[in-house]
Amino acid sequence: MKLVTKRFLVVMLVVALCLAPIGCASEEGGDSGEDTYKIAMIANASIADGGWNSACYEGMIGAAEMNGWETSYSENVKQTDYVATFTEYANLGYDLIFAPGNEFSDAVKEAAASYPDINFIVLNGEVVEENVESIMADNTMIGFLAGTLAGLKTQTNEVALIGGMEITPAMQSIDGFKQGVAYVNPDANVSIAFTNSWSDAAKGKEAALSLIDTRDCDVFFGISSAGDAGMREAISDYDNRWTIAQPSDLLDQFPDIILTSIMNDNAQLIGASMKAVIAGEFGNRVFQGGLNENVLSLGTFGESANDVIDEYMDIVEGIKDGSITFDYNV
Amino acid sequence: MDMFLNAHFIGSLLQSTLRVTTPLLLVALGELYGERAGMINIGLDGIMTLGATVGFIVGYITVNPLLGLVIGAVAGSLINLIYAYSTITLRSGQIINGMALNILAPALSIFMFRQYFGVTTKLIQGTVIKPICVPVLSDIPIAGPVLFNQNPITYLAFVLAILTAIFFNKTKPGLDYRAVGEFPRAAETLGINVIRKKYIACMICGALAGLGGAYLNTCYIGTYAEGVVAGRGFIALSAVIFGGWRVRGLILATLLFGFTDAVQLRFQTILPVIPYQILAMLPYLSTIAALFIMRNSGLAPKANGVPYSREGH
Amino acid sequence: MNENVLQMKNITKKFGTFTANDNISISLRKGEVLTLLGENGAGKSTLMNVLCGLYKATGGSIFIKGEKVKISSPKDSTGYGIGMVHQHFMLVEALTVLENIILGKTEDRALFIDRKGTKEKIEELSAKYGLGIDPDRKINQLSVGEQQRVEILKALWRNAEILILDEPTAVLTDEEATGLFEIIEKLTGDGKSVIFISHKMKEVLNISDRIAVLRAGKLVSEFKRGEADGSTLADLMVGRHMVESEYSKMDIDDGVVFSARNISYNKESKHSGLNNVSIDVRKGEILGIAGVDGNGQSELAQLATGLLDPDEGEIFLKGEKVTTFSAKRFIDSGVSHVPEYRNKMGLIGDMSVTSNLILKSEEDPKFAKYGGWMTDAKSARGYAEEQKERFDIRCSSVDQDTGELSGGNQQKVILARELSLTPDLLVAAHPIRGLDVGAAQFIHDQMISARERGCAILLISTDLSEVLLMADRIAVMYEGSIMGIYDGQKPPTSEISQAMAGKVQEPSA
Repeated sequence: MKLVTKRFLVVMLVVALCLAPIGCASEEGGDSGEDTYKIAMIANASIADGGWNSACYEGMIGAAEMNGWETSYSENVKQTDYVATFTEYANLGYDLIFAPGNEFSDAVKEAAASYPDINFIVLNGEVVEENVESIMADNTMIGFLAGTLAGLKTQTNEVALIGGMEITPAMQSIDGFKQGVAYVNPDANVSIAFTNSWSDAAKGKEAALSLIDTRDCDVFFGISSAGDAGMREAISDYDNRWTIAQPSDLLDQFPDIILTSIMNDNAQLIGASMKAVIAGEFGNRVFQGGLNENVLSLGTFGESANDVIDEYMDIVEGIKDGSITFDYNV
Repeated sequence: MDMFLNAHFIGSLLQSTLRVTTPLLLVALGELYGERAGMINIGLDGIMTLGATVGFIVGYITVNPLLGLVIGAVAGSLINLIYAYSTITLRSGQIINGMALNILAPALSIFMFRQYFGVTTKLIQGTVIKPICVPVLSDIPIAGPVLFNQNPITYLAFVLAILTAIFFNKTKPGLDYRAVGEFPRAAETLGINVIRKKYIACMICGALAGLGGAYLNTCYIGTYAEGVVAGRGFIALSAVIFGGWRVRGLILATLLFGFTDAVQLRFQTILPVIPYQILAMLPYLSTIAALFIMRNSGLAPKANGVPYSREGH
Repeated sequence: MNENVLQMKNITKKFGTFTANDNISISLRKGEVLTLLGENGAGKSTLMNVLCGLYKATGGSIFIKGEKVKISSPKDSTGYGIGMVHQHFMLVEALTVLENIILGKTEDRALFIDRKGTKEKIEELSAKYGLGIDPDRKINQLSVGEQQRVEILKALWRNAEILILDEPTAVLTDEEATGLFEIIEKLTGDGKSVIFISHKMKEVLNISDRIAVLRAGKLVSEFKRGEADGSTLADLMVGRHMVESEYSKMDIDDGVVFSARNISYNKESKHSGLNNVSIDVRKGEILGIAGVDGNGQSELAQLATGLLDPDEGEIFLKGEKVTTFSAKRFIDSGVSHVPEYRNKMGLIGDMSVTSNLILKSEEDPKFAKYGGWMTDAKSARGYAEEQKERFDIRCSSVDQDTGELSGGNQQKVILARELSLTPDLLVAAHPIRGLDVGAAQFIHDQMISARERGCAILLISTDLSEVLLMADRIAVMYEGSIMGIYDGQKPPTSEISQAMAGKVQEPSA
């Protein structure tokens, strides 16, 4: 009997431990009336990763507030569970399902075909269907905005970009960054390091330090999510090293080293789709948002940007009015 | 290339190596204490995550990262008691319990973090323990920054490693400890309390893994991001095997990993023609290659991973 | 010298419902050798494990020098001057002799190991009792006999006054055993008391001052030196009158069941290969393979059961060429196997007696339900109970794990499984190795009755007396080759012995 009890205990313990992390889907917002629109987000990591998923989640919340929608989310969803999670929300009658990344494309296609009445948006995606829209910030423009500022500011003529992994939006930003640097400062050299992770903040720190050691880089642009935080810490130990932050305004956290932040307002992107849903015009569209669409904007400038701010603002205006252009190579 | 092979470059490369090595060495030492008592714990990654989270939260609240480190170690030790109870007292499988820790501890970490900070999308900034910079000596080329400008925990890790080597090779309690991992029944006949030793082993293992995790968020970087451990626990685990369950081997293994990791980051900028994916594999490839060359399997504690029962057969 | 150094009173030890020790009382005097005599599973080792604190007695009490003591761990027993040399040595192979000796709780309370000082002390102690041990060698470099002396040294290091030797001669050569008896004499001469566990009658009569006979967990009787002779003791031990068995030898030619033609396997190796071996096993006969261990017998057994394929040559079963067939095909053609390592090859220790008994016949409609997807637990159990009776398997129930059974009973489980398939060929490797007289005789009886039924038996044994007793024809193996085949009815023993050493009276140069 004793042995049986013990075995039972072990089984229960293991089951309990394994069930522990299963993602929580929580609903937010008031009582749902029949006429309230609902949006759900599915993330394959934590929504509080301080990077990509955080920005997407905030964007959804912001768009929902502006347009009076209800929200819900599922996080840490495994690739094998994408379709099932989409189906779940579709069955619950959600009006719009938000997939923050191109990696969801196949699952969205599958779910969208089964649920023609439910609308899907894929951030940074390429899928376009009757009930699917792909939305994205203009990543090349993000890179170009950062690159021109870095090229103007650099004193060593060595600027750096720290990436997480080589995915399409990252490559677009890198391409824009290189064009931006070359546009204002053809002598400056661009170095790139990847942390090969979205969550390893320590690796971001090591990457930044290695860029300082090998190339004496002085202006950094980070697109490696958590790694960016490590990068900012690394360079704050030095004099005369700066960084351009993204995707939100981080100046108050590191006022000494941040030149400015390039803010990516996902709320505007998602909001545009919400409006389309309400108006009944949703579908068959790729929406790419830049400065003029209010998806991209610049944050507060740090004092360290004072010497270049005038020249830089001229460039920003030039991009807005179309007098300065760049290529979309990626 | 010449511009890179100067004293400054080499000095900072080695400094970086030690920074990367420190948490790995701490955690690998913890696993060594575990495996020398026959307890294979593949849940190191999970314990590190908990240590990192608890260390960060405590360091943030008290503005005392040192306290964060200590509490992080305590938390690691406590959560490993679950593993200890399941594997030692209930004699269930060590692998599955280690796996359970890898699932439980990060979930618990997220829960605690969000309980305290809420679901924030901004990274929270805490304080960190700064490296100790010995004046004058740290200006010596190469050796200066490497030996005299390091985080106190780095010094602690290497001192612990040396003490561990002395403990296992020169002391009587260390000999008894090893007997538990080699032949627990024989140890029992000689009056060694095997069960207690195994529990102690788990607590040391948990404490060092927790410390290694807490180091990441109280010494290495001051921001907390979920997933900061990023597989370091598994690297530490393999370092124990590749190090042949010897302290010296363990130091070499973790240093090799730290060195190749520091090197690959520099290669990314020096040799941008090589795809970073290949460079990022370097630390892992070198570890696997070293495993092949060393062929240490025969040195494993004989009763490693085997549940022990006093009246069993 | 009549004081009692140790008394065990009314000791009872139960494992679940199984009573291993039933109300046993023994006493030990200073400077004497007390022998515990009994079959495997009689409860000798259990009693001693209680004494040295590894097992907790269910009932009874222990007195040391007249004082009642509580021994709940090996630490306690060491403290009372009890040292045990286990049948399976308790030595850590990765450590040196010195390290093994100082392991655990000893008088030396220093934190650091004083290798030099300790080494001198160990050498001194070793010399005193003529143990001849070098403290710096690693355990895995020592011979079995040397390891045993390290165990004795270990006990002496802890000031043992009472030394328990659990079947010490089972693993020793005759020469080593003689050496051990000399050591025991020195120990008792020095005032130490020895509890000697054995079932080898000759040596027991030789060295014991007193003999306590145990059977099925009970103390049967006690004798002083010279009070009882070997056959009385043997009868008491087994619980019935033992007759030295003698089997009639057969010489029939009813056709060949198993035939190996010029087979070679790994022939460069003298100790684990076969070189051009040709043998036939005929229906209804026992072919005995004699030879010193490690001359290719293991490989022959595995080749004859399909576990290995020969590099050269052919194997025929009942005339059919089966050289490269799988073990499964061999089984299907009526080959049974009693393998040399009963725990590693013959049984699954973590499975019950029932499961082990039906291992080869799970798909038999008798035991299978739902088209073979499930086992019919009820009929399997019934079958197991039947076999348990027939083969006298002593276990608490047929649900007991076979790993918990004594060697003799494990062998009976294997034999029950193998013989119940009514094989045409039985390959039995060392079938009685490590078994006591009663179990060995039972195993032999079963093999003989299988032969009577017409089964061909290939008996491989390193114990020449077993081969002489059983075999109708005797083949001698040496360095992978057959040195000669001899008649079993009037075996030329000296010639066979010579052949086992590789010497053959060659008719021609």
